[in-house]
Amino acid sequence: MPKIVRFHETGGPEVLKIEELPLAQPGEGEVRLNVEAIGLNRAEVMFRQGRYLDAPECPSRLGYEAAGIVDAVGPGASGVHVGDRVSTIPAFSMGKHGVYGESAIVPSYAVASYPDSLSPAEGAAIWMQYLTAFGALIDIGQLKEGDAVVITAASSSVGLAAIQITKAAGALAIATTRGAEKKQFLLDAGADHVIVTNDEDLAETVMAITVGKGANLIFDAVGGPVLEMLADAAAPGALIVEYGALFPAPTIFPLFSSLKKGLTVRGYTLFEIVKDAERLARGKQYIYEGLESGALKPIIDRTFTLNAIVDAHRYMESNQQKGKIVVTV
Amino acid sequence: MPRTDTLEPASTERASPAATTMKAAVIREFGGIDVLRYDDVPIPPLKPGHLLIKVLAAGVNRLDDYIRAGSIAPELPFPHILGADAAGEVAEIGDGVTGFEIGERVVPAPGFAVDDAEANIRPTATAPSFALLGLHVAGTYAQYIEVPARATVKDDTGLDPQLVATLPVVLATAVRAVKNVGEVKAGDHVLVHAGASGSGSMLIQVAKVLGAKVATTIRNEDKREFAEHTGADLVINMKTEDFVERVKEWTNGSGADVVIDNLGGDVFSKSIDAAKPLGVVVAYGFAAGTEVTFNVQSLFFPQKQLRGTMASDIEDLQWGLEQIKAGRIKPLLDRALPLSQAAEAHRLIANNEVKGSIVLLPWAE
Repeated sequence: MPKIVRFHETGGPEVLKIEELPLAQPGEGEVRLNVEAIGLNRAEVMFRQGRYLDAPECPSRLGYEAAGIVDAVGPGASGVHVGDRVSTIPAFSMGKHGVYGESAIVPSYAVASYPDSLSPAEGAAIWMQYLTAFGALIDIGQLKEGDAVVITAASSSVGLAAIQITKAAGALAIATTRGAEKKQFLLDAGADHVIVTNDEDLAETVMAITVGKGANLIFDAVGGPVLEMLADAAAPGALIVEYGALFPAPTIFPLFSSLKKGLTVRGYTLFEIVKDAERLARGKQYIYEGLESGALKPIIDRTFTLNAIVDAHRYMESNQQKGKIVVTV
Repeated sequence: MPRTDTLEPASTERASPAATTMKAAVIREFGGIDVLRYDDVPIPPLKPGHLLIKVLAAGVNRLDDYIRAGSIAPELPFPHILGADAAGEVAEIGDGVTGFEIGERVVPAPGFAVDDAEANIRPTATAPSFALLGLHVAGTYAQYIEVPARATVKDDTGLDPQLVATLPVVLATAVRAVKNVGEVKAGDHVLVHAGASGSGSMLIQVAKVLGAKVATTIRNEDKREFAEHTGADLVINMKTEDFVERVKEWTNGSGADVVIDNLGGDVFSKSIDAAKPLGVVVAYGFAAGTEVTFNVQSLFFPQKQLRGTMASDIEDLQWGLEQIKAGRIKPLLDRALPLSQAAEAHRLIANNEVKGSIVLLPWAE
């Protein structure tokens, strides 16, 4: 019987339990994966805490991203065959289809092949980060050559994906990080400038870098008091995309800057992209081309074993990571 | 700026383009309504590319009251002439200006880029040299105003200048907020606050012209009839009803496509809640307060957008005046007073004693 990660109550990392459950059969339009690697996301931490989009029904599975080999195909599942090497696109309810485990069942439309040159661990670190950043920067943000982009919490997998996409577009990537310890890592990852927010004034530094113009596009995972500083760092007409909510308290809306500069502050999740077949197809093509050319390259921070899933979640919540956390199965 | 300090009333013979001085309501310090002084001041010299406009009527905005009190621009140089709204006629034409004739009815855009090199920047308010009439440059509480011809719109509405003078700021900013920033389309459900106020009633009218269904809030039951009269399909008394719930009911549970938040303060986060997923909240003002907080998760999961807007572009004014000409939007005049009574006009505005706009007449005795 395959090992599956579930939780019976919401809470800290310790609520995650490894259970042996009977091997399930894929239903209508579904496929089953023999899982080789699982990519971890902040979404799963929030889901486990009961703070995510949909509330878990306990006992609940969890997990959006896995790479593996298709080992069973349900009736009506088209375009996917037993033996295909695929990874999952987060276009489903993780409570229903959670992929943390040795075996996972997902809708057939939510799997995609990944380049042979990538390992399964890298294959599990593609779709969430690149589709999220693609949607915000390219699909919605219409990023142009020469634009200045500010990326907060830049050491996360999505932040690093945003740096790579910004550079691929010929735009200026300005990454922010709280402490100096991740600065060199972010420069190595391709950021043109790194602002250490504990030591430097964010808005002043962005204005100095952009010669007084400000940032055209801001990709923010944090919210909270940072939003006011970001609005000060914004160019007239800039778009601020809020895609995370790392900061737990109420956020002050930068009213005066927004009125004066005509700013847009936009909430965003990748579901806007993955639920729209056309936009998803454009995103996949963009990502395949980027992986092919080398412009996009998943950065893996650390791998854990499935038995260490609690430690892996703990590590994610410590915010020490520089890139994707992957569990190998 | 040289000036005379006489308080004698102007004679109409003297106040023509051939004259060198004009009557204006001038402030030389911040303070109560008494700092507004009816004085003789020099007629501004006409620069190339500009028009000298004879002001037939000047509209009074609440912003003028704030500026006079010193709460908007504490660094304002004195003496200063307030006023962003005017209807007038071309009195003199600067070198290089084409397409205007002496005596033609015109309306100056309330805001424009002072620097000609920035004339094409949109939104205009983002130009570094952006100026509002009556704030950054001399305003319309005067017999003449001098403005760039490129920031002047022809007035072919056929309406009395007293009515037209009520319009530029409130009309153009409403067009900007609803049509361009909110991107309201036919069939949209739109929420506008303070439907009985000057800005609220104009926002409602613009949304109706675009074919939207409009809900609005009021705080006093006696404003209901007026809000309905401006075209609102649903009027919600914010004091006695939860407007978020009422808007949800009105939209079969989904929420408004677009919310124009012309209040700010505590209302703003509820405005976000009243918008549907993927909906738009336009931040347009802060009458209810400038301290605005919200929960990022309330925005991020339902992928809502908050869009700020201020001022307007000349194209917004032009589009708005076309609707006025076609009779689709009605100006709302409370009363006209001689310019010499500018202080009284400010008193009425500050005390909320008006329904609709007040205009000042610079040529009336």
